[in-house]
Amino acid sequence: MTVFLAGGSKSGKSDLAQKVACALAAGGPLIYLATMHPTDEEDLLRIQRHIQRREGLGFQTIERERNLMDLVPQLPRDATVLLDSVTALFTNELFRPELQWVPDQTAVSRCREGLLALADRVRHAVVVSDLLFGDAARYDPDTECFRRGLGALSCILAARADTVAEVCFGLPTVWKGVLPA
Amino acid sequence: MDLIIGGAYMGKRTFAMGRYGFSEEDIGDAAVDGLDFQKPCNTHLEAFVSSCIWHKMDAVVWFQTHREWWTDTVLICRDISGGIVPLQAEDRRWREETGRLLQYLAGEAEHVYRVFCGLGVALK
Repeated sequence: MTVFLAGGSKSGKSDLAQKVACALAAGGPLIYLATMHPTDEEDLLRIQRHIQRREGLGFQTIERERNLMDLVPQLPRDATVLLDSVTALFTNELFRPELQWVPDQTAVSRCREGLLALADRVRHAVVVSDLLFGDAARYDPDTECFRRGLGALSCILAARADTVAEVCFGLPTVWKGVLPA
Repeated sequence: MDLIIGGAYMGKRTFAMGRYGFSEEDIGDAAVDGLDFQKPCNTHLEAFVSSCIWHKMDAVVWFQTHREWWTDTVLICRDISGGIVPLQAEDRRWREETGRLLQYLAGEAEHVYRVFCGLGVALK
């Protein structure tokens, strides 16, 4: 099955996603797909914290910042994969150094293809994303392009997922399906 | 009137098309052409609020005095109530006026849907 979890910053979505992934795997192979590209000390600390929080849970970590499509065929079909997060993956696809950070217009379709292929490929996929759609701030065009793209990907994932939940400080509100426990 | 609210890019328009069978042409866009009540549905009410502020009009009063125009339609509005209080006075005003209008319209509506990632839940 596919589970899509979205929440604000530090909403506890990653911890909940780990619990859900462990429950779904039921002892089977468990893969953590880390997508963040660290750019500073703060990011490295964030990654360290995430590594600590999943220690001993049995995850094999694969780091993949972009081009999810190329990785998916190599993933074992019986695996439970936790992808954290769509936000980071899309950021890396949208803003690329080789394009001088100009938004890559193919980023949404590339992410969509990779994410849907992942959902089709493995036994269970748990996918985490951020919610940044509810404020009254006016952003520059590139940031707005990022929000629009992440919103579109969220809708695509929610449509594909068996279960969709909004996470608020560790507590899920289920919008679709049943959350495995 | 039915009211659909939700965050930016959360699939509100697509939800309305699925729920009511609207085509793209059925949906007026206040952010582009202004409200068009020849159409059964209008979106981006928050942009209408923005232009009301610009023209020194009260959006709630406008809706109250033109009831017959929208009473049998579907209205879609972006929920901009979250996040930090905006730094600019005009943005604060925009957020508050949009909230005030949504409270009025939610009260008047027959159904209110909140849309999250393309999925809707009936609040009313």
